[in-house]
Amino acid sequence: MVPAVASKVVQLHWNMDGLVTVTPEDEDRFSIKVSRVIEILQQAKRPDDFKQQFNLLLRILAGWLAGQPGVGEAFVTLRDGALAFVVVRNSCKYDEQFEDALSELDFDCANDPDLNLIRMDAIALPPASASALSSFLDPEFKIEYCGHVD
Amino acid sequence: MSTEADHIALANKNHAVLSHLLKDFETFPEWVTVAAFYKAVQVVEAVFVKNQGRCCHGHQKRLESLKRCGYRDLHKHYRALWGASSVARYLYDTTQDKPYSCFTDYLTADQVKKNIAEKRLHGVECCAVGLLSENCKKSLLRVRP
Repeated sequence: MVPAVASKVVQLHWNMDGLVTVTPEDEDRFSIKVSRVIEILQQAKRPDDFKQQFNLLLRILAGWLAGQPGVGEAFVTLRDGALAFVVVRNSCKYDEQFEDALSELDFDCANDPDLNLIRMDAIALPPASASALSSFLDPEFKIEYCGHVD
Repeated sequence: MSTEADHIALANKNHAVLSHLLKDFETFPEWVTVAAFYKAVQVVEAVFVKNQGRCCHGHQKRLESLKRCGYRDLHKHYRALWGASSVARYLYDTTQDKPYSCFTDYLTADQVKKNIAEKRLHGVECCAVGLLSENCKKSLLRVRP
């Protein structure tokens, strides 16, 4: 049997203002992944609107990350038929304030009229190995926030 | 469709399991977290049946409904419970080079009792009682902080 190979992670660069850029070499993969998510989330009737909203979502999440200390890694992926914002913290310890801030972001995104086609949940995880985190990340759809461009 | 009272009865059953586990919370902190979450699931379902006239199937749909229907405080506590129970159920790391290896690295047994059962689940219950019918409000067993 040929082992399954996970698709490449698309990396997003972002700055403190929430500006998000896809590296040129990742642009085609990014488009492919967005098309895939449109299909999975059954947004084929309004693909252009969905793409706009998805890009806005990525900027909102980047802006939020910029204001949060203690974040190690952050991903947008798919889980249970919806987008998932998976934030991996630097510290192992459960942080109540961080959880509340993440809940607020999650709630506000769900009720943002400009994101009405987006279904997303947010979860914070302690720092674990890539193999341990893999149960939270769709191997076919992983977009990673990979650092400031300032 | 299950009734509001049905979900409260299931919540109380999960409460009994939780109470049992809490007697020895240092031995099974993961399962205390999971039992607390599944009690919250039934409490939230009771709220949905009473206020939205429907229940939700699946964790994602339940989270989505909490948000879209405007249950901000309920969602705040419930999402934290869902997250902690997801870590309890699905995150296990045997590699040596990362600080996380088991659930108690994330939440100690004592924190599970205080932060998960007595704060988050209690928070769900407090938010829910204002949204339940009088009978269900009275019959819901609640965590005592």
